[in-house]
This record gives sequence, structure tokens and C-alpha cells, in this order.
Amino acid sequence: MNHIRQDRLAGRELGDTRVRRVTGWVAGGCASLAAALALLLPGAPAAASPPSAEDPLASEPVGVAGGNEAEGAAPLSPAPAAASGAPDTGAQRQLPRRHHQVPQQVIQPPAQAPTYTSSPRSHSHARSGAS
Amino acid sequence: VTTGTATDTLGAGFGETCFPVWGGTALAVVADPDGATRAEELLRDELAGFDRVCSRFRDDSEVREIAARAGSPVQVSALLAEVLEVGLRAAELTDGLVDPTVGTVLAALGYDRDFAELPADGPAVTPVVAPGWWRLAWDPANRTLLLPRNVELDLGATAKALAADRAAARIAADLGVGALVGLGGDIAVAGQAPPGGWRITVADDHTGRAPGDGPTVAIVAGGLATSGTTRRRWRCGGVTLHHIVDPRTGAPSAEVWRTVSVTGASCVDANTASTAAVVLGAHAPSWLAARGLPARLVAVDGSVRTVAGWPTENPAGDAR
Repeated sequence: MNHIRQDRLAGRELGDTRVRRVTGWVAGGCASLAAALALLLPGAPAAASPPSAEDPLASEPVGVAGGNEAEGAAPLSPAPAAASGAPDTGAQRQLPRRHHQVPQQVIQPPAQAPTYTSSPRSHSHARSGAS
Repeated sequence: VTTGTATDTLGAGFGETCFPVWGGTALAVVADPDGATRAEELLRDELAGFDRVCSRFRDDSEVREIAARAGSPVQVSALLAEVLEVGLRAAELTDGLVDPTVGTVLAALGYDRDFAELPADGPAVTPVVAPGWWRLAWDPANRTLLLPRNVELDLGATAKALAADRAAARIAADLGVGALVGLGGDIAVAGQAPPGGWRITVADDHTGRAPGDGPTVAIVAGGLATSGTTRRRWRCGGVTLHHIVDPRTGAPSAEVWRTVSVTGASCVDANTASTAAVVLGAHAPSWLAARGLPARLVAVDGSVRTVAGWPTENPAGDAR
């Protein structure tokens, strides 16, 4: 488990967009232990301290702006304020930076768009609605 | 449970089975009037597998077992590996609008047990931002997951769609005929489509118990998914909440759209897009159009927008 960071680095060097993925669990040095522990420590804030200047991942934010702790957050009011009007999700959560596209990294449209059918609704095969 | 030859509503030549599952309805339709029983057997088997693996509410589920071992790498089953891959891919493709770590968010909002067991009005809640899918240390080669402590998985959105895709393909292959599987709003089709395609009515409520029927459209392959905020609503501290949460804020997404229906090359892709669109709110039409995903969005006032080749509707509500 002390190779998460090592593998993330490897992924970055290789241009792997999926920096979160561990490419192997090989035995390794102690240098990565601290970073791995930071991931594992109970209650560790999602918005961890910025990586040090020597850290090769320094420019790659991995946290959540605001953190995930309940502490300091306001309870939901009767008119909860949601941020779904924001156009750029990455700006708010500082998502990991991507380096290149990998195969199948697109939401695939249908081969053929849906067509209107004049059949009575009672003759439809199925209903698709909120569930 | 209803199973049989659905000649009265679907026309001759189809078998149909329908039963409740996961607070919604499971449906299988096959282009074989004698195929309903076998289709149901396969569908139930597929759903049982997903329930064992993904349920947040079963003490013996695999995700609960992994949660209990948070902080240590755990080798997961082949099915959970597939579910995780699908969930992580959805997160990447939506920049986290769909995020498998929203289990933490839902639990904080009081949705911590089977929906039917939620109190009429629970204690007040405080939103918690989703930890973020990138915190999952996932090794696909060895099927090993390291779940950080204090991170709870909720694979529900994409897992249900994946279950529909897998079940439709399995039924079609087993029976050698076209098959449709519906799980709530998630529809997957496989095999040879009937002439004119599989006819699907889009609606506010997949059960048809609520008004709000839209047009009937036909698809020949892939999937159609509808996400919406009209069902699975509960109250905490006098505030009404719904289950499509915004991972960025930890609160239920703003109710810009009542429902969003999307077609995709698979039900997983359709569901990923429809869920993301609800969370995106006002920006959803351009987001869907940029990806070429035919979609129908119904605003809270009932007005309809269509994008990317979804058939437009006339004033009577029929698509053209």
C-alpha cells in the first residue's frame, strides 16, 4: 500500500490520466509511505496541505475545495443552496489534471437517435421515468 | 409479479415479466412469447448478484465488507471490479458530477438505510462534500481496492444501469432473441430489435402512478435512461431532500429539471449522462449537445427541451 504515490507518479510520467489507479503493488521504499498514510489516516481532510515545492505532484491538486468534513458546514436550510448553476465542475473541486485521452473515454451516443413512434402509449414496451 | 405472453398490450410475439426490485420495478420483455419465465430467471439472477455486491444496506454485501476494511487493500469480486470500473469511468467522463463516493454524502443527508425505512421526517442534516473518486486506490490488474477511511461508496446510479445492460445482453444471448430490460428509469436493449424498434414511453415516474407521461420513442440498440427528482424524496429537519446529490456541494442538486431522459450506446452511458445533466442544471442542454447525446429535459414548470436529435414534440406532447 505504500506504492500508491509511486504508481501515481508512474502514471503521470506515462501520461496516464487515471492517476488514482494503482498500477501495481510492488515492494518499495519508505519515501512513499508518508503520502500513502496521508490517504489512509482516519479523518484526514480531503483538502490536504498543498504538496511541497519538491513534490513532483505539487501542481496536481488532489483535494476537494472545502474538504469533506462536516465541521464548519451549515445545516441544510429550508431553501438549500446548491451550486449546480456552476458551469465548470473542475473549478470548484480542483480535480486531478488530465494528461491525455485514453480509449473509450467518452460517453458514447447511440448509433441511431431515437425516433418518434405513433403507437398508442399503452402499446409501448416499457416506461422510462424517475425511479 | 406478472409474467406471461404480452399480446394484449405489446402485440403478439412478446413475452414479458415484471416484479418489484430496489424500490422500483424490474421489467424484461423478450421477442419470444414463451420466453418470459426464462428471462425472469436470468434477470433475477443478475440482480441478486448486484445486490450482494453493491447494496449499501445489506450487512453482508461486498461494499459493506470493504467499508469495514477501509484503509487496507482488498481484492474484490469480478462483478464489483466491473461495477467500480464503470463508476470510475463515469466520474472521469463527467468531471465528478457522477461520483461513486457519494455514499458519504447520502449518509450525511440521512439516506443511510433502505428508502422504505426512512422516517417521515428525520433529524436536521448537514451536507458533506463528496470525498472524490480519485481518492480510491484501485488496481484493476489485481482487482484490488483500497478504500480510504471515512469514504463510503454508493455505486447505485451506474450499477443499476450496468445491471440492465448485462441482463439484456444475457437474456438476448440465452434466448437468441431481442430483449429489453428496464430497471426503474434505466432501459437497456440487446439482440435483434423488433420492427420499428423498442417502444419506450418517457415519463416523470417509471411506474406510471404519477401524471407526466411524455412521448413514446423507439430505440434499436443501446439504452435510454431517465433521471429525475420526482421520486425518492424524504424529509430531514423539515427540509425535503432528493436522491440526486451534487457531489460538489453535498446537497441535493438544484431542481432545474424534473426529469432528464438520454439515449446512449449503452444504458450505462445514458444513465451517466442523465444523472450528470440533473446535477448540472441549467448548463445541461449544452453539455449534452456537445457530446451528441440525444436528450429530453423537462423543467420543473413542465416545459420541455430536446437536444442532439431527440425527436421534437408537438403541442400535444407527441414527438416528431
